[in-house]
Amino acid sequence: MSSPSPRSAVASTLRVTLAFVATALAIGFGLPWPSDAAVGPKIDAIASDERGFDILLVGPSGIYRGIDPAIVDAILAERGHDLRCYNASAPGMVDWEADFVLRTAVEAAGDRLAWVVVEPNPWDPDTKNANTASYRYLFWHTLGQSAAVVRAALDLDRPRDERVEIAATHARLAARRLSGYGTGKEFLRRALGLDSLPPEKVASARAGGYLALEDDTDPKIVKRGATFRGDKVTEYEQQVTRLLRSWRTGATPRDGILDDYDLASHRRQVDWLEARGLTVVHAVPPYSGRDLRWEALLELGEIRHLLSFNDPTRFPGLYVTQKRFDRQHLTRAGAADFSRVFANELADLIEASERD
Amino acid sequence: MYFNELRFFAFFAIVFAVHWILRGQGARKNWLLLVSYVFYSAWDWRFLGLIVLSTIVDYAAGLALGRADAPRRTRRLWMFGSLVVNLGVLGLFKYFDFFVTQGAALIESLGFEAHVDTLGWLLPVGISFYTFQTLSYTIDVYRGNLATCRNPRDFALFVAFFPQLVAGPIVRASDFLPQLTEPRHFWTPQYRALAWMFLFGYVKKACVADNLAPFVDTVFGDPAAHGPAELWMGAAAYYTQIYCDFSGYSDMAIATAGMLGYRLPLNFAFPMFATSVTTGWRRWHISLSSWFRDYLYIPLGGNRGGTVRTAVNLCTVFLLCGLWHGAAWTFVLWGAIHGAFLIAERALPFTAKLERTPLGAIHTQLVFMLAFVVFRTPDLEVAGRYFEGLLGGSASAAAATAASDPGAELWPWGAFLLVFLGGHFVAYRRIGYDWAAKRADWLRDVALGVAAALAIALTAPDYQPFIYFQF
Repeated sequence: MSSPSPRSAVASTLRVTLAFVATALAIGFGLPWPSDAAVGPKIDAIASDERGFDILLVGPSGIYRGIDPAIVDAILAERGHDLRCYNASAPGMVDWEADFVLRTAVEAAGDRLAWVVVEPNPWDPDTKNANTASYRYLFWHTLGQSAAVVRAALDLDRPRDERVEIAATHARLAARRLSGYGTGKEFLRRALGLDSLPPEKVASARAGGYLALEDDTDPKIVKRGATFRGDKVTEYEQQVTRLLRSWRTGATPRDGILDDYDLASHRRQVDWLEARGLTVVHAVPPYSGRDLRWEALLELGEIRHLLSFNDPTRFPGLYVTQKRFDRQHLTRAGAADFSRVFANELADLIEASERD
Repeated sequence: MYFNELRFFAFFAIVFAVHWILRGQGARKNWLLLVSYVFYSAWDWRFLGLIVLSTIVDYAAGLALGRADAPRRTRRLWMFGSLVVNLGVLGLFKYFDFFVTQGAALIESLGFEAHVDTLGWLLPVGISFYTFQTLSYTIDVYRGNLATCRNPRDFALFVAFFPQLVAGPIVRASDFLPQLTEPRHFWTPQYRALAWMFLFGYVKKACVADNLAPFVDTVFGDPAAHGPAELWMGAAAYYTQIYCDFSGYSDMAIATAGMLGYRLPLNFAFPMFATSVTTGWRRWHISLSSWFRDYLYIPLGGNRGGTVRTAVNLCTVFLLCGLWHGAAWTFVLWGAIHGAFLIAERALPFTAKLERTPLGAIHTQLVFMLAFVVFRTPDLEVAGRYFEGLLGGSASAAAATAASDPGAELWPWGAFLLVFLGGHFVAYRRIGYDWAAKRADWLRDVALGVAAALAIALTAPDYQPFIYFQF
């Protein structure tokens, strides 16, 4: 550039720019999976499995901590189905992260994959309650996901300023993801062995992806389990009573219940999966609340198969306090029960689809 | 608006393009003055008035002082007026509350009751920098060392030139004003070398200083909760952080100004490789230390009045240098420590020999590092606790015992500091930023692009304000 010639200045600027863009893209494409979600080893396990998996489960902790693929495989085998299942779920996944993980896991799974079980998403693009500064939140902001979430943000039924602010936050994160801004530390931490996963998470990724809460050594989880008593148990039991009442009174979806629901994002996901020949099953774990939108979507045909396990009238065993690690999650014994119930419901679906 | 922020890159791209597109020096200077005010307003537009006030007062003082027929008494009055206004504003915003509360404490300690009303005013960004800059102009004109600047736009640009407005380097009028009358051509600046300089500044600030900041904050936030190893590492990390933060800013400021065709003085010359405290001060914050030398130390008599007088002068200069950084006893003590070592180096002949051995470097860096512990702590009590911990005092010994394996958490920081020091040593030996000046142009360009992308990747995820903005 120091040469006094416009041509050489342009050539020099182009060389610098190209080298910058190429390096930034290489960094962006090679980013390691965030270790706190422990999804990376799961994707590796799915991709490297010689036989391959037939059923893929993706969702946040309700599915991650609730469904043990070993039990599901055994039940399906008992019922005459030689199918293998993998739990690619991760704790604390936000909707759009779950969608990103789902797509990556499906791409990694290969041709055998026929069934995908996902927890239905509210598709909330708001960043208010998200840790936008975390590497994990940044990581799923690929170009495709970012474009989708920015569109969803702009379509929100909110004041213009709020919509633009949310969209701008996602756009900023997309730019950071694309340029690899601030991600070098993640590479270095991995390279220096400073961010190695706890052994139980590595082992669980190799063994189907399920990890019981009692086996997790994360101090926050250990503390949470130890504090589920007293008032928290009383509160949980009151929630279950309300849930029971809701199912017994047979509440039905009201008109307009989907007005705020991001149907476009829901369809985008379902269409993407079905275009790959996959059967999509939406499963609601035994939470202590009821979202009537899933039933509305089922009525409208937007959800083809809905397995609602948050129904204490049908699955009272999943709501026994002793089988609860905390209000939202099951213990290992509770998860074993849920896995059996889930496997049987899924087997019914598989058999029904075979008959069709 | 920080130099390492995307906003600044967009701002500078516009400033740069318009500056070089404009024909005529006058239009370019008008443009630079306008964007300098916009740049400052991005911090807080309310304080722009103070810069304008300082500009008007010193411009008028310069005109009055420059009149050949002005009587000596009138000249003195103008000089005095400029000092009162500039130092008065600085004192009001920066030191008033400190001295009022200290005065009240003194009165109470004597058994009297004192009611204190502090101002609680926000400190305007860069006030210490531009105040010293305008003072240098008035003093130089008063002494007859500099011709009066008769162009108000040129003078206003000298005061507000955005690359160095908020954190220096403190530019002398005698260095900058003549540049405003020089012809300026797009092809004159060495853009490639300046780009490397900016990148090195960016790396120091965003990749080194900002990545160290959370560790430093943790250690200094509660020294009693950390063992001696962590405290030593914390001290080394803060010394590196403040050096990289400030010298990184200076490098970026010099490079930014350079791309617009202006030269700013060097502010740091590898102080981490100084072998005595005296030479360290010739390498650290050069524009400030030389300001104090030329406008305070030498007028006080410098080293011309014997050992005791020199010691008193050094002490005065460094106490004020400490106070320049902020209104707190920690800054005063920091200045006093440096002053004491400078006096000792002059008084003790063996220190000259020490300077030629590795012990000189070790001693100098230890003085700088430990003095910065005082600088960083919020008050003398915490500073005392920190030093107690460094020496393995009771609280830190308990913290060390409580920590399961402090070494496991510290080694990455140690490795980080060593890698930085190694890289910095290479740069020191090469004395320059354009590392590949003798290589082919295409290779230098590709290296610049790759290095910039790597620097972006290694940037700390959270912006940290420049430390010297608070001074």
